[in-house]
Amino acid sequence: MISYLESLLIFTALAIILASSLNLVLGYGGMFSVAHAVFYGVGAYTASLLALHLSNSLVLSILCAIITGGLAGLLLAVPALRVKEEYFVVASLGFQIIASTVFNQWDAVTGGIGGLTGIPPASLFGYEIDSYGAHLVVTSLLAAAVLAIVAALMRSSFGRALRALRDDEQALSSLGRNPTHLRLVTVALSAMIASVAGVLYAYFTSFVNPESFTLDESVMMMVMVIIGGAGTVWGPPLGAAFVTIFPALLSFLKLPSSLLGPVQRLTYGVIMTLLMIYEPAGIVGLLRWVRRRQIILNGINGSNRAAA
Amino acid sequence: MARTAPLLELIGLSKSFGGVKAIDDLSLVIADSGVTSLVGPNGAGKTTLFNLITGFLVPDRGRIMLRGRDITRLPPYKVARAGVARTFQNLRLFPTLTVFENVAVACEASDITLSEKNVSKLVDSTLERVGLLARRDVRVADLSFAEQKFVSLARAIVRPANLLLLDEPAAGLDGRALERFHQIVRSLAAEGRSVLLIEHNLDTVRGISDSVAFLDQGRLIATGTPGEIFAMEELAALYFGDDR
Amino acid sequence: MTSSKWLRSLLVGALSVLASAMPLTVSAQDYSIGVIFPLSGPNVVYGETFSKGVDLAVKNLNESEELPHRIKTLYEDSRALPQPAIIAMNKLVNVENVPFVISAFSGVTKAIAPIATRRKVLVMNGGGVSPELAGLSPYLFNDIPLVNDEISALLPYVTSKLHLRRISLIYVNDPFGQGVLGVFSAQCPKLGCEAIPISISPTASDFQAEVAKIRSAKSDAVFIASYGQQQNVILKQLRDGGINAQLLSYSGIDLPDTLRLPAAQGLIFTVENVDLGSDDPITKKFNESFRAVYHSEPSFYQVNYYNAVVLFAACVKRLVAKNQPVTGENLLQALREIKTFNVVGGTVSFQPNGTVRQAIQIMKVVDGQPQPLAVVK
Ligand SMILES: Nc1ncnc2c1ncn2[C@@H]1O[C@H](COP(=O)(O)OP(=O)(O)OP(=O)(O)O)[C@@H](O)[C@H]1O
Ligand SMILES: [Mg+2]
Repeated sequence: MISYLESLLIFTALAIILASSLNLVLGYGGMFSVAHAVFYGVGAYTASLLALHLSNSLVLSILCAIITGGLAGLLLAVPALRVKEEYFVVASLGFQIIASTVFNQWDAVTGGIGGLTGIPPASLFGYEIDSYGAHLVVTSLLAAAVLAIVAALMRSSFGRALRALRDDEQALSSLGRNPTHLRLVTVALSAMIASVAGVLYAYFTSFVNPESFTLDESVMMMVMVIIGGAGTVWGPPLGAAFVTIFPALLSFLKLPSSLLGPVQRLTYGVIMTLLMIYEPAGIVGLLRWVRRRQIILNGINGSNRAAA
Repeated sequence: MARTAPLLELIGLSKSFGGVKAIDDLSLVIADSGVTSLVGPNGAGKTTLFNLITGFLVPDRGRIMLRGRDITRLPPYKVARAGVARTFQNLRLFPTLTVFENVAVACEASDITLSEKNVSKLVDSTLERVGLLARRDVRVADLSFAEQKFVSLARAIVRPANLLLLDEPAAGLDGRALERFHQIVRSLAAEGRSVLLIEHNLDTVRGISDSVAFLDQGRLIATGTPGEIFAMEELAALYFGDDR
Repeated sequence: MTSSKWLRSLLVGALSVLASAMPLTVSAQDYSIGVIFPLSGPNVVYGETFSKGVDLAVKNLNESEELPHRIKTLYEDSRALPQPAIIAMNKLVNVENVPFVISAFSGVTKAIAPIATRRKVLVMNGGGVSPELAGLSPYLFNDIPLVNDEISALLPYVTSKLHLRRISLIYVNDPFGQGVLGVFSAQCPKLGCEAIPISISPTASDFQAEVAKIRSAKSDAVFIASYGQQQNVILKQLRDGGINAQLLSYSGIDLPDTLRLPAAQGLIFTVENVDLGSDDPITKKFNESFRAVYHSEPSFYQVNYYNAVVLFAACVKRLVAKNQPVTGENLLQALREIKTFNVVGGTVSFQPNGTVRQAIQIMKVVDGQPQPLAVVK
């Protein structure tokens, strides 16, 4: 049981890193990107190749992945931001498709559709990260670090500028900030963080292939951010946890195999649709709403008492 | 003394939208300091002129020189960095940011090397100047209209820009707020900054301007001191359109 | 307010429906086996097809009471993707403590192989054919011939018996096709034949350029390594393009509609030597019950997945006889000791790399029907 929970939590932590980093672009930067899985993949392949051919040092892998991930981010952002901002989603779609093709076809490097197997465990300060427990500790710590970084970033001048950009791009540029540059930095930063998740994924599963970095995965990341609450620090991690853990919970209902798939899909879809229709601010919005209502109710109760 | 180029020089500027000549062969020189009011009826092209100067629009013809440097085709953020600050007629604040953050963004936008502490000091002193220090941490969307106008002003003046373009900053202000506004504009001029002001209230224009430029249908009709301009009866007719 | 109430009541309703669908709890005595198939997503149709084979085998074995306890399947959804498969595998292994897992799809099987090794759980793959699956884990077995084995049987036959030397190879550029290319590259030099590789995309549907290449190469034979509808298109375009060389292929082309095509006449291909006409009791039982339960003809995959359960039962029987607990480790031991298994369609054994060793039959299409040419052991 413990190992199962550990594996589930490891994937949850990875999803949190991915959703939080996508949130920078989507929630704060206001750019709809459906290419986030590409950066996840770039990180995973970077770590796998390093581990298979050079070194399984986690620190080195993360550093290299940050570089390759950041470059991949620029590869998307530089051309994409030349065109109008509204086309970013189209550009990112194209980028995702091209990247998927590269993952699939560049056999010499990515192993093609078959992928890369037998990735050895990572080493960190002389310890081998082999057990699920060790993976969970490392992944959770990095997820916590990412959350802390995102929160700090949003309180910093960078975060202020980014939120201002979302509110009114022209006003921001009239103050002397280059919006394109700001977006570029945001996409690159977000890609760097996502690629760290890729490193952790590769070492945990010890197998990477293109199936994990598809458009579908990118869309799921977007779903995490949106149902959790885009543009908030806590929304995307909540959304990530929901999207990862909910299907696992459903699988415990031990439905017959012919029912399991449809029921899972349906329930999942219905809940997401309802959330999106009735609470566009996501889970965080829902929580805020509950809290507001409590305050109002307390207020009413208080005044009733005063009247009595 | 060697002759230095004027702060702002507009040379034969034209801009049309479809068939509408919003700015028509306009030339104007703005002095290094003092308050210049830009007056004219609705649709005269005043805001369009601001948009041309700040790089939001590219003129069809003509040049814009800032201290002798051609800034005609620079993007807005580069114009801003060259020392031009502006406000917008419809304010365009960052509604989800607090008062402090709105002004801080302006402070950091052109100089990201400023330390958090310096930004804080600069923003707070500017907020004090416009009378908003007490509202520092309120979200801008929750402010009154007059307060929002002062945030917009604070955003423009927090940086050491030499040229300030204020688009109807006093519209809708009255009483003490208007008085505070007058005082701020005068003190900006006293600091040696040059203020170009779009203003409809002629009392305000008379009270704070060093010179006045009169615009109609995209053309510069007249320039002069407030006294000279207000003496011209044909301008009043144009402005109020009463005997046409 | 109303919306949230509605949402809440809907959620409660959905959950109670789910809860009421929960079957009775598993008896501790049952032999639990895990099954990781796509039960949702675009590949769900495979999961549904494959599970028919598994379910039928479990039903038949439980009814026969050959084993002291019942076999109980625990299905998990992989969506044919690595990450859900890893979660599913961890659940099966660590929560349900199953000693045996049936898997499908190469990516999924590769993703769960490290867990199988680590937790000593036997995995039986009956669907993925990627050549890299061979030898991936001591606990991983493939009861489906990886495509290499078929080609290794075909090539010596066509070079020595039919004297075909120059063979153009049209292959889909994916792990399967690359596997085929790999075998050609390794074996042709030894056999004195020459392979002319021509890669195509899995989604291509126009082969004019390829046909032109083949024509100018003047090859004796053309091997088609593709699958599904694309095979038919290639066959037609080759013949329409005036290619009269001997056509060769593998078991994937063994579809009645394809073999009936005029363009397919004379085609030589290989199949797993599964004799569904054999009258051994296991095959007979399979044939009868499959038709009775599903009212259709079994597919090649359904035989494999049926056999996956049969293999498990054979290992369990041995452990019961030796009075040993049914653990993954013991199952592996039993599987290695039994060596040769009686399954649907004949007997199978496993190579040291975990892949099934099965006789391959070489077939020729005559009048729309496959006729056996030879059996290669
Ligand atoms: N982006 C635009 N597209 C088309 N026409 C425009 C645009 N901006 C301004 N105009 C037109 O140009 C003319 C000048 O407009 P402008 O906003 O500069 O006037 P203004 O002097 O600022 O007026 P007001 O006192 O009402 O603010 C008007 O006829 C207006 O309709
Ligand atoms: Mg205007």
